[in-house]
Amino acid sequence: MSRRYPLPVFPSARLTCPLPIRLALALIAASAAAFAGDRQAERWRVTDFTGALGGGPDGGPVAQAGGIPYALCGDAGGNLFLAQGQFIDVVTPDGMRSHLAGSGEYGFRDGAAHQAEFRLGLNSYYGAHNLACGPDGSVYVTDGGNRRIRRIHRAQGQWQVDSWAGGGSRRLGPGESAPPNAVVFSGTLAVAVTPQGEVTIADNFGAYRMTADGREIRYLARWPASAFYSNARPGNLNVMMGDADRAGNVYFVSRTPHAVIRITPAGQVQHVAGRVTRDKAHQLAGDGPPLEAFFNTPTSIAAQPDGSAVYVCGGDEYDIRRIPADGTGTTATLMQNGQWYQASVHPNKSRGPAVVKPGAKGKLKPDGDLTILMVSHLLGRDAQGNLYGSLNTWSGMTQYVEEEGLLGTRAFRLQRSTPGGNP
Amino acid sequence: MAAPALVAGEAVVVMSMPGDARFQLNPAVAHDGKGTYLVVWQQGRFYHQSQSADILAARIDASGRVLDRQPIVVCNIEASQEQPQVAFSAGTFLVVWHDLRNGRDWDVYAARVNADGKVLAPNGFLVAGGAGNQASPAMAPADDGFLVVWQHYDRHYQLRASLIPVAGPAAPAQPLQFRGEPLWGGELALARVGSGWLLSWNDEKAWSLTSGATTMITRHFAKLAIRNGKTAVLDVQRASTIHVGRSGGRFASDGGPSALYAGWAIVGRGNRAATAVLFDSDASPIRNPNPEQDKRASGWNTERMMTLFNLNVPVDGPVAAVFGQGMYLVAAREAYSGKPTDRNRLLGARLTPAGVRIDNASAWPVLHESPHRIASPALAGGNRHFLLAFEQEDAAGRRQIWAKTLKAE
Repeated sequence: MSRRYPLPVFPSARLTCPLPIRLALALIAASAAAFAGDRQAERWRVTDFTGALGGGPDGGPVAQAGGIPYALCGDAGGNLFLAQGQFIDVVTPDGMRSHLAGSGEYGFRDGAAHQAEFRLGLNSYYGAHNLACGPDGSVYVTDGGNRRIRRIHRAQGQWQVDSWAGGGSRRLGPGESAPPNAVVFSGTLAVAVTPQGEVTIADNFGAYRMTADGREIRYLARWPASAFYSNARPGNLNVMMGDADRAGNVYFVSRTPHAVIRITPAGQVQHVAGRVTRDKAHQLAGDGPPLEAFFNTPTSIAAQPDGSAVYVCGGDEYDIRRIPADGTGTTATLMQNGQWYQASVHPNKSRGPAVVKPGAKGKLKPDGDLTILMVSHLLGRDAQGNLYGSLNTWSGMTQYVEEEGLLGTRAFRLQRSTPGGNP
Repeated sequence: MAAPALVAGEAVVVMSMPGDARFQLNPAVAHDGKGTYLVVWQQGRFYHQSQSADILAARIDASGRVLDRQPIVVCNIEASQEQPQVAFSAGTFLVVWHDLRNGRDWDVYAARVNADGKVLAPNGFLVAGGAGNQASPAMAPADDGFLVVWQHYDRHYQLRASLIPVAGPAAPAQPLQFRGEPLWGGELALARVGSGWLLSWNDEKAWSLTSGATTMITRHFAKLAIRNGKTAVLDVQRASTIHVGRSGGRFASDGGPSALYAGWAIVGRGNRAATAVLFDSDASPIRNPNPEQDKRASGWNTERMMTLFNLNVPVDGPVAAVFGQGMYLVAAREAYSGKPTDRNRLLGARLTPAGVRIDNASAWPVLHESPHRIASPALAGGNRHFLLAFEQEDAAGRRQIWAKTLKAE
């Protein structure tokens, strides 16, 4: 038996940059000073959340529990809901995690929540699915494998699961309406719910909106042509996740083409961020006006409840990008010191180790000590606008916070120092 | 020479409980060496505001007959008790589990069960408690008792151990250390090998990309032994390849000079494969004696591990393993792809004590097949037979523990 035993080594995933990129990165200098408004005042702190390193038991104290969730939403009561495997878990305000719905197996079954079955992550792009918390305590789940939006809710004192939309055979055209369970969705699915309780659903071809009572679904529109490559036929967006702000604006993110879509409270469907391009030079572009910034295969999105910003992350975007929700100004990238900076080349090219350096100052790499904050995927956000991220095996697995040590979990909370209110 | 057939007895429901609709989950089995098995399981699961779990058991004889008309209640105290494990030593079964009875976090509890099925301390006794989780116990027989290893939470999970005699109090919890460094992690498996034990765990804290690809391997193995009345870690090594035990696994041991560790992993683009490593008496991995398919996947090294099934046969976990009747037997579920029409089967893979596959690639034993969903196989080895326990749903989707005997003829 060999006698090799590794002493704990703090992770570092630093990549070396080719000289042209290093030169380009030098242009990033002093960009922090260029910011105006709230984002400059924001500080984001990284703390343990869940998915204990090495694995832990199902449930119990959230930071000590095993299992890394894929998606998350938070309700106004301080509960967090997590999608992990084929379970939907809940984390109560006292920090206790337990299963809420799902038997753990793939399948389709409505009824009592603990017996319900889902096919989460199937019939979707890269396993995407998401959760949306409604104002009445309901939780909406994109069940791609069953081509339905499922609802978890409390009825007569019991947690139940039902099919809120989908499962039918009727394909709607723009402007058409139908009972929600009569329609069939196409391809990938994402869901968002407004504070008014209106559920908005995205599939490959367009967006749908349900009335708050769940009795009718209306096809709002196909996706805008600007969200597709210029030489491609407008058609499919691979929608990954959705979210809504307090004002009722709904956002979806698409991975290939890489676009962020907004649906206004009035039902207008707009391409608001993400340059859709195959041009290599354009793909190197850093932060800039939202429609000129390039997002590299993003998997996830969260909307700040106060309506100030939308965040995208994931795929080959190992960082959180901030998009000003009003469309003015520029995008920004979250750095290791928990502040927003403007990168003049795509921040993926300045990827650094998974180390949080709250006290770091100065210029961005390579001139200074700052690189992006390593986040593989954004699970979602809570009602206060705190974000939740995770690290995938290939991009870091562990996150080290200066003066606090190695995080105990692979999913972590990004707490904003200037939290907003509930949506 | 043709491989001996593996003859399966009739599958039976271990304990039908019409008045209790909770799912029966996570079976574990141990054999008393005289023809009686103890099957333990978790009745229910920790669901928010709706359900908690108890630990129940039943005895089964060598013919596959259930000896108990009512379940043996190992622990049904308020709050959840989950993840039971069972082993047999010196005339006594020991059941261990983690328990949420304090309402704050998990603690490790254990209960002795005698050959008559009597629980000697109803609801069990505390093995490890205190602040933070004490969870996910693994267990193996020791001389006149049992060695239990579990996770102890202190921001990161440390591994701790205790010797529990067949009678009397458990020894104080002891941190496992190697050369002064604690062992960290989870997803534990433990087996008796010779006079000591082999421990397997997953240590993501040791993850590092900077020190080369091998440091992405987080599965570790350690050789344990008793020294001066304490559990000593004699040696530690990483798994031989990244595809060993990536999703956890289990040991099979004959209590003699070798042990098989079997687990499963997603290899490359979605291939689900069961892999195994055989360890010798010095706890060193034995070179794979079997021919293997080539696979273009990072870290794929079939000199240092073996596949248990053809890569075209997808399986998932947990994988069960046992030694008995002069062979290793591994059971794995043919991976359910989410389509209701899929076959539900538990496949077997047999190996000689030297790790040579007994069955031809096209003729793995089908240990169990059902029109209903099956999961979580567990195995124990008797003198002339194995007992296979598993979860199976009925037509209404209700999940119960089933069992059947397997005999090589």
